[in-house]
Amino acid sequence: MRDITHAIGGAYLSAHGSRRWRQLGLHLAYNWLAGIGLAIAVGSAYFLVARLSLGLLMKPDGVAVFWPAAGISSGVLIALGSRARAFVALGAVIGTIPANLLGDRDFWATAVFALSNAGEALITAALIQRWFGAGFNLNRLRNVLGLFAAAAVGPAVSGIGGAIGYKLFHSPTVPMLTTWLHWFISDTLGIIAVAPVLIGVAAAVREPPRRSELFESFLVLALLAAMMGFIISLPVEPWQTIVPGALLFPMLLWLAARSRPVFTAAGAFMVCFTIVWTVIFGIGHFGDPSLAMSDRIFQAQAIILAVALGSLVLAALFSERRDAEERLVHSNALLKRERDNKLTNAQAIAAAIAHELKQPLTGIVASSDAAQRFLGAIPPNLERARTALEKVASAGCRAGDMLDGLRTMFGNGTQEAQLVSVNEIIQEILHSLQNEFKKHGVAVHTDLRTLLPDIRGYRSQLQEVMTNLFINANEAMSSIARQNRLLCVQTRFRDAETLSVTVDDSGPGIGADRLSSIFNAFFTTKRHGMGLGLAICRMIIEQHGGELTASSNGMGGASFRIVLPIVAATSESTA
Amino acid sequence: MSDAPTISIIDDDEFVRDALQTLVESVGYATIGFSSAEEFINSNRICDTSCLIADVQMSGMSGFDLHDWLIRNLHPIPLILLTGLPTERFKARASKSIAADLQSKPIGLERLMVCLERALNGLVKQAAG
Repeated sequence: MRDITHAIGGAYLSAHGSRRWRQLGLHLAYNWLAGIGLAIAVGSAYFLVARLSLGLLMKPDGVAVFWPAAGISSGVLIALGSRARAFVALGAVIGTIPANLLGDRDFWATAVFALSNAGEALITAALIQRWFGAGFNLNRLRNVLGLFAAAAVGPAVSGIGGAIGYKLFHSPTVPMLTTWLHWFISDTLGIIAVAPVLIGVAAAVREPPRRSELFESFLVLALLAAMMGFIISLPVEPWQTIVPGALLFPMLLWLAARSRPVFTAAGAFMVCFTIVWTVIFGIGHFGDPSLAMSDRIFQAQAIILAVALGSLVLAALFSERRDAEERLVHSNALLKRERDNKLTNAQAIAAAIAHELKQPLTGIVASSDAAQRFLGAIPPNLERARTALEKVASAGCRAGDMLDGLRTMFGNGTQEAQLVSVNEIIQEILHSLQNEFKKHGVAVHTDLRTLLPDIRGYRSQLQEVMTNLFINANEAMSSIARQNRLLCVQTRFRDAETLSVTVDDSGPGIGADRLSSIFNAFFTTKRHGMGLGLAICRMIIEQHGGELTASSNGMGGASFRIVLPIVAATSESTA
Repeated sequence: MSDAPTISIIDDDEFVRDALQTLVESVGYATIGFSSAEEFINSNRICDTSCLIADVQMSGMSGFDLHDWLIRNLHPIPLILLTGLPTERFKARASKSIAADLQSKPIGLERLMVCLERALNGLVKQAAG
């Protein structure tokens, strides 16, 4: 019989196992499919942009003047993280090969360039990952500078491969260092113009912008595009050198100041890309045939660097300022709430003390008036007058006890926090209240975690809190049938730093509308001696660096939960 | 003494309840004490009660809850509510009521007598009309 069960169990397990394997297989296949798709997408984009770039080659070495394709591979890799490493590198390779073979390059040079291009993206993205971790964003100045540094290192390394490739397979007349320099400049500018847009898009997907921000940003980008069209259409005149700056800078500044960095990056990208293709196709100011080609290229490169660096740095600075402002507003709100809480606490304490004192005072006034009445009767009822006067005396003592309790609680500055065992306090208080529970027919169930570490705190205050919670529970259950009255006390490790105490009762519970206010509003129980409002209990627990919360439990009753730190406790109460 | 009106006193503080009972008895009324509004409602002494004195803040039903219950269940018993915390909210709620009289604690013989007489006379009028 046992064997049969075993066999069935085994069959079930293996069936179950194979399903898991199948799922894993599907998952892997899906990942591969997505990866290949990514490689094809990156490859196609790389190919198209590379074809455009190969339209303008540096004379006489034949290096492309601009290489925005480097920004595509590096940007996608930084945006997607190291998981996409292999596929993006593959994309760079399959993009480079046809783009180069369609040009004047031979196969071996193409192979070297493909490897250099793939390596460039890997190095740039790896540096960003190493310096800033995952989730890279351009909303900080150091991140922007980090990207520029990585965009310099990646092409500097891949440029070595590129220069060797040219030397071996094209045998140009220029020194290798010149080839390397051309490669380096063209790829670095490509990365800083394109990668920020891709990085920004990934960040915007993680945290989508508001509709109003999207609308405003796209409006400004459209304006920017229109402005560039206008600039290109202008006749080539000497004064035209100043016009683009005067027209375009305000738009970029607007984007930097009001939108997140992705939109500024998009604006800068539009400007840079326009410069690239107007230089390549000889259109407008940058295509001015009266200037020497090398001057035009140099001018375009300087402007691309200035536009990308300037606008991204501005965007990061504005973004930092916005963040700082947001944090300030947030912390101001926190501070205000804290202050309001303190006021509410003080009011609740004053109300609780007034209420507690008025109880014995009511007894004193009522009993002494009654005593006078009994004495003034004919004949005087001496026996009742004496009893009433005894009650006056005991109510007076009760008021005195209450004030003593207050003094213990708020202390006179001399008492110090000591190591106390929460379980011990609970057991003591439960013991002292056992007659009370017996009288009301309350069953007490304790589930105290053994070896619970001590906490640092004020014994008498914690005793008051426990007493108050137990008495609350006891009184809350007075309205339900005797046989159903149950008090559960549980202590637990919450995590490595905190422990929790839960006090549950089977009473009628706290209405959802009152749950949030029982700690603030005046809410008290009455008993002999010092009774504390829940507001004071919470204050004590908070002074111990913990928290006291209330909720409804599965039994339909109220559940109070105290969380206390195991090691550190504040010494605020003695300050 | 057996025909004296019976005053029911509800307070969950045993000492206060006891003192109030003694005071009311000292002027010749009969009293019954209850530790909660629920206890009073579930007792068979509602019909004997000519006037109620109840605390506002009690665990379980409050004095105002008791007031609403009396109205809902058509018990025309005048109610004197005592509170240690006469807030504006409580005063406003009491002023809207026809049956409740809100008094702050502590309360002496003089003020309590005025309230009791007003309440009992009101009841006489109500019963006569």
